Amino acid sequence: MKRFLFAALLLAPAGCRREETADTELAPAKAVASGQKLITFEEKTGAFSCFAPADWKMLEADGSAGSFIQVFGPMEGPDRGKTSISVNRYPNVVDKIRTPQELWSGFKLTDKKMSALEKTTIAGREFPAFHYEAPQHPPNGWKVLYMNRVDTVMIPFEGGFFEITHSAPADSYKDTLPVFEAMVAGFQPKR
Amino acid sequence: MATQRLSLERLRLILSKDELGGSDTAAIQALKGNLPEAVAKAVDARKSAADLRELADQDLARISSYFDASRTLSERRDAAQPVRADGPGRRVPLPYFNESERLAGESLSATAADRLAKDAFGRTVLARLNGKDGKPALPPVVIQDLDGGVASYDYRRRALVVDRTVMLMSVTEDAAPKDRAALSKALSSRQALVDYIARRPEAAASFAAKNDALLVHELTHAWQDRRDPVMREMARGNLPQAMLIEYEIEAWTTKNLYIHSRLKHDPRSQVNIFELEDYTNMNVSYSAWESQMRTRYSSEMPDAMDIKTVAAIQARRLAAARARATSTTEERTAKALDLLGMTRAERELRELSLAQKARHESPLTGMVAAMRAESAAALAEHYLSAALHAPNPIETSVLLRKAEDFALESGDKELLARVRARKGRSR
Repeated sequence: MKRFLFAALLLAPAGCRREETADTELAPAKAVASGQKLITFEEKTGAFSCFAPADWKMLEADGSAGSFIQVFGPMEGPDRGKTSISVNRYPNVVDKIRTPQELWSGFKLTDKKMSALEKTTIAGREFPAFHYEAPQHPPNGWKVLYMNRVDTVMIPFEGGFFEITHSAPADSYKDTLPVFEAMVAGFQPKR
Repeated sequence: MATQRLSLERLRLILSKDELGGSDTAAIQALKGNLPEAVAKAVDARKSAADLRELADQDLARISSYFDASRTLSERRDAAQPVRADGPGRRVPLPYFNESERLAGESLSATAADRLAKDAFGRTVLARLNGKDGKPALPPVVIQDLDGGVASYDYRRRALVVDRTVMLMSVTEDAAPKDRAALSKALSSRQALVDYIARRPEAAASFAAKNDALLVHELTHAWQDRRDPVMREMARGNLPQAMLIEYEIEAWTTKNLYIHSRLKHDPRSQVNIFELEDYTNMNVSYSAWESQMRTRYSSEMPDAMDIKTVAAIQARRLAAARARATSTTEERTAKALDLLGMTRAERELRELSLAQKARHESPLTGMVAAMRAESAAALAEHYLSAALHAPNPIETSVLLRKAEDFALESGDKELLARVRARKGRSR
């Protein structure tokens, strides 16, 4: 069993979407993880809410397999924009995967060096999790730019589960892991 | 200068908000590398939003007038003409600079068509590029330096571009080992390599055979260019010149559908190991694969954006064009033509957004779902076939283990039995 450690995490009241509200200077950043301010994010269809890093770029749209959110950051430093945290839901239109075991078994078929499927405890809650390393290629070729460390936590909900994945350069992934852990800790599936 | 303009427009988009949040500040920092020096320095000095707006507007006006002034009324009239779908369309009298380049390009084009025609889905990809006469009308192919890229589709020239280093590698690896160094030296210039390909259709055919999946990806962009008017509007200056992430995901997906078709119909198919890895990743989880693709483009390509971001920049460009002061008949005509082209392009971008959603929700998603259901068995057969021809026992063992894993995943008991029987015989 693993426990994740936080840096200075303060819980925020539930609330607003990520966009700024007119009556505050910013959707108030009430939580901090690894020096990154966090705000409360509400998924557009009401499927879930979570913390999200206030200073990162966010994509929220309809992908081919259903709606998703993905944040990219941090926006400063040598690894600027190279970390992403994504939230996907299973099963969906394309991926008929119903359990964390099925997802992990699928990844095991690839050439990635996979960890075991373990139980992880974050903020007193237990989740299935795994990790692996994968090469980062440029968009238009197969050169290996660097290795990414990918950590995935799965949150079972209503006949399926949410997958939250942190992908960052392997040399520096620990710098942003607390942000990922905070997103998982504050993740609230709703429908 | 086009990149500077796009970056300034993205900055101006952010600065248009009443209040800036932390993510906005971070996004501004991310743009700094492509901004004019004075604006970048102001960002570093953490100048106020109002100061940054003023600087950005000054530079945008300067750069925009460069683009505006550099276009004649005749060019503006051309840009204002509606873009017609289907067919290769009008092309500038590039991309070939000489006869040898034309012959090399036509040879590469023809051999690409021959290669893809061997497969059912490959024929689907080709048919999308048929001309009005119903015959394949592939785009021209040019060879040039792509600085780390393997290939690309250039929508300005409406041509497929193959990297010179990749082409040279393909040619030299076909030669006998003792001849490779000398051949590489002889073909060290671009023209020498082009001349070689022009004279040797077998070299072009070999390249096409080794890179067919890559060609499917780039030819999908060529199809997108004919199917939708957006790239042509970008080439005309009526839309920001961005790399659309939605288009890239469609091209990568199409490439994997082709690989699947090849594996399904012939498990002995030779597939580039990276392409096979990508195909496998996509079939494990399409959602996770799409997330990885978005990261791949967002983290490495400053001009990669989604349709929504391009639309927001276009809205600002239109507002700026509408507000442009005019005092002569020529200026008024120029403004009217610009607005005509840009307004139409904005509508086409909106239509593309709806069309992409519809495409993904139905036909493409259906094809991907069908592929997902068959991919484990296809990979099991592929690895089993490869194991039968492996050069040594260690490789045989590795390939058979992979075959067994995928056969188990497929749920096909007969296939699993065959793999295990082969494993038993190889011990």
